[in-house]
Amino acid sequence: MADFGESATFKEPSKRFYRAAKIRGLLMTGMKLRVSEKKKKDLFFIVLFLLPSILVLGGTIFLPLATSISLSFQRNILIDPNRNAFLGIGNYVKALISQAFWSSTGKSLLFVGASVFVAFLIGLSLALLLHKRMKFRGFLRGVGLLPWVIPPVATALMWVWMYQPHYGILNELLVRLGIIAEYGDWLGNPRTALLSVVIVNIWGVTPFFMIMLLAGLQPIPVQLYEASRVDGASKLQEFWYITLPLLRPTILVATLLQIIWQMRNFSLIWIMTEGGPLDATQTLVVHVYRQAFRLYRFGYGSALGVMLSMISLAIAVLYLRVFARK
Amino acid sequence: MADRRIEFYGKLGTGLSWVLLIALLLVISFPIVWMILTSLKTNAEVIAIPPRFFPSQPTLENFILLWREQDFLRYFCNSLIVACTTTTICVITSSMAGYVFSRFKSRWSEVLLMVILLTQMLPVILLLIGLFSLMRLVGLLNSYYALVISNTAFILPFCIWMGKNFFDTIPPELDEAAMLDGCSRHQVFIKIVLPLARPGLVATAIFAFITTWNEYMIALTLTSTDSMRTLPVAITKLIGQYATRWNRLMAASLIISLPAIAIFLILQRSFIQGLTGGAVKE
Repeated sequence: MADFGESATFKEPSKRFYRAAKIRGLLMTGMKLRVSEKKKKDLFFIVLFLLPSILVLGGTIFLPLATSISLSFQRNILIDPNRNAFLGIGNYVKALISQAFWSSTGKSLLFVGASVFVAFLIGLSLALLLHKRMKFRGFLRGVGLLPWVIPPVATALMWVWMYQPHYGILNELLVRLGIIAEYGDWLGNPRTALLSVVIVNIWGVTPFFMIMLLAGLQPIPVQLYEASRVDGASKLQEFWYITLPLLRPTILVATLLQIIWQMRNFSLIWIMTEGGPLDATQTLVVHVYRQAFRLYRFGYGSALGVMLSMISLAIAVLYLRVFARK
Repeated sequence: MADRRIEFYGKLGTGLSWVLLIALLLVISFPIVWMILTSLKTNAEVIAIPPRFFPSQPTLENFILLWREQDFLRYFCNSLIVACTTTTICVITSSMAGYVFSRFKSRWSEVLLMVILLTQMLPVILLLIGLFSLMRLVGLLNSYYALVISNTAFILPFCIWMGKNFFDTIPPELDEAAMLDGCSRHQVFIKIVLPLARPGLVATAIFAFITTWNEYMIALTLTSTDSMRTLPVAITKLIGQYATRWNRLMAASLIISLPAIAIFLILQRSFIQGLTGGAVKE
């Protein structure tokens, strides 16, 4: 607005002023129209091009998510719909006091912890070995990467065959090497089932660590090692004081990702043992699946699914708290 | 710099390192080798006790007989149809969205992209229950629609991310130059940007195809009859209660693994180099 300054009197603007103002006003509206024309066209384009994605994701992720969460507050049994009811937090309470929930959560933690830790160690060894220059390095790296490339279905079936009690090669090898006296039923024995499945998972996860750590080793400057050599450091000291600390961010990211992914690893366990024998390999995911799609308890299953998400989130946050020091 | 690195790390000379490396890699590759060997055995050899390592009469009959079986062909086609459809939808949708995210950057676009990526953090099992309920409501269970829609849900976010990153490598000045010459946005997208982004589109397509082809849990849950089952689900049902034809099963497993292995072999060199820095010469 015009500032009339200290003048207390209001001077009537001349007719010329009004006319100029009108013309200026029209020009500005014209410009605004042209600008908003382009903006409108752009907006139309954006909406047109984003709409499919938004619709798809909205309908296939957010809608089901809302459905699942709302189901978690109900008793909703597919094969017995008469008993459907609103339960509030009933399902969650039921889970917290259920032995199956805690036992399967424990198995999940065992499964994830063992898989990630051991796979990390072996992957680290491979990365360190393959970091050096050598003949056929590309080929050898490729071999190391192979288990990651094989689809989980094939992995599971391959190992089920290897673990086969009567015709499986593993038993034969172990006996020949003198490690065991007679054939064992690795997947059928509740005491060895979880370990057997963990071993398969380690086999499949190791390449991931190998490749991530190889990538993390690349940018480490040679000068650091040279300087430490001058100071008389041993190879072990080099590794502990130079390599490891510099690898820390990579290790953190890789392990965190795997922890989150392995908490939801379903196919491998389901194909190999379906959670058995006697729930020996029933991790939380498997428990959720069984409740939802074998017993058709959609309400309880959804609640368990939500709890799985919460637990994963808690683990991730805790992990970062502990290990991601600034 | 790279040369100094080679000089310094030196060759993997020490015998111990070599032995360790070869031993590790042998152990790692053994299961795969065993799978291949088993698939080449005859019915009699496969259940020989004690198990023999190499097949004395290697044969390709397992692979051939698989194809003759009516059911296997059906499963293969199901997998193929679902994978191809999902891939097409994902590539088209993600390239459109990726372009928007790349060219029209603003605060809301960043937030939206973050939300889309965060959906990848949700466990599939939780969403699957909701998906199953909704599909059942609409009567889409046990259909190609169900599988395509569900697979797209979990692949699309990452595809959009890939798309955006790829379009970012194409300078927007190109767009503007074209538009100054009179092209509309649509024409710029179709005629100019898209052809340039072909490698990115191929990468997205490969990712979508292989992820869908290998997918197990969704297919297992949303299909209830044999005629709709995809390859991974159908194969696992071949493990019989009493007698399983392991050689046939291993052959089928190999066939399932083919797309992934093929892509891996083709891309191996550039993939590993890209990930671990191609500066060091072999």
